[in-house]
Amino acid sequence: MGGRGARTLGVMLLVGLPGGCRTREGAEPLRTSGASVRVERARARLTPAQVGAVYLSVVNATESADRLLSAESSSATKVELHEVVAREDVLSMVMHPEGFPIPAGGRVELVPGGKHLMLYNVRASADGIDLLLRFEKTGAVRLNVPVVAADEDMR
Amino acid sequence: MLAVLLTGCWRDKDFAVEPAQEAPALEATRSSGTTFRLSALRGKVVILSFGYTACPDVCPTTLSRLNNLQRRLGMLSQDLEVVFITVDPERDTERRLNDYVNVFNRRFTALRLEDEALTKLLTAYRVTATRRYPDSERYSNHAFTGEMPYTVDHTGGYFVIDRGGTLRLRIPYDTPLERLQESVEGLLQEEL
Repeated sequence: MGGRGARTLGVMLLVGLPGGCRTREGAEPLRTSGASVRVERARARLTPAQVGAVYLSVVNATESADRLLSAESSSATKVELHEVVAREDVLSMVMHPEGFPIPAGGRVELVPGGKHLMLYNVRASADGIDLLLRFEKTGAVRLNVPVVAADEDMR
Repeated sequence: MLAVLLTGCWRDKDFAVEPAQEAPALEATRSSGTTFRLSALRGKVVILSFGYTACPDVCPTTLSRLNNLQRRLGMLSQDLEVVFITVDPERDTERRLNDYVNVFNRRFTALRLEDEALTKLLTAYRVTATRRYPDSERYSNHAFTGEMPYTVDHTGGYFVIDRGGTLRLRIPYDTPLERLQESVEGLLQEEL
């Protein structure tokens, strides 16, 4: 996946904040003993049509499978788990109400043109959007997701 | 340079429209009263793509790639025109469409055709667009402002027309930017 500009990388670099500050930019490691389920590289792209998509990686370093069940955000009326599926050259959006499975010791990637979270009626803010992810085993994870400029290639 | 051109041509067999045909006519009247005509862009390379503004992933990805492509082409991009055609004229007013496309690149053109004109165009380019309504049950508890949030399944990718007005390439939407650049550069380097 080449073509990532320095700007995008800058956005994606996780800012390790000094102690006391709970929310990291786009990533929230869970405070479980040792191995954990981590969210990495979360970023959102919003458009003037007030819809948006969130892309991220979920890394499951534990020994049991987990599942991303649902997501919500105070910045959007609704967040859905979607996947773009190509049949020949026709692209459709498939909903995944059953969630995205994350295998033990594996990961799931939400990327442009693939799995993603769709945001409806987003109210954009310069500070990014807050996002609550609900996992089957890990429970709820709250993070702040930086918003990437619409004209940026997000791969 | 010639070698680059040749390899470009060789590898573009994957994307070639066979047999090469004159690009189907595309005309759209704007609310300003002016008419956009594809035929007026002879001498330039034109990329058409179809989509809609309420599209959360594929269309923004496509348009941001085209913006990146233009950036990467540098001076060559003066001879490149990008045209985005809505497959959702019901929700996409001309204004909404222009605002949308301008976020990605101010030089891109957005077009809105309706009814038979749109159907005819989609048929000519072999593009399909089908509405997909969500399960209304699941939305009964959500007060949506205004519209029922349907999505549109549509043909993705890039339709590339050469300087002579021939529809030469259909490039899949998930083609890496480098490959897209190679193909478009190849057409930009051709003499009229």
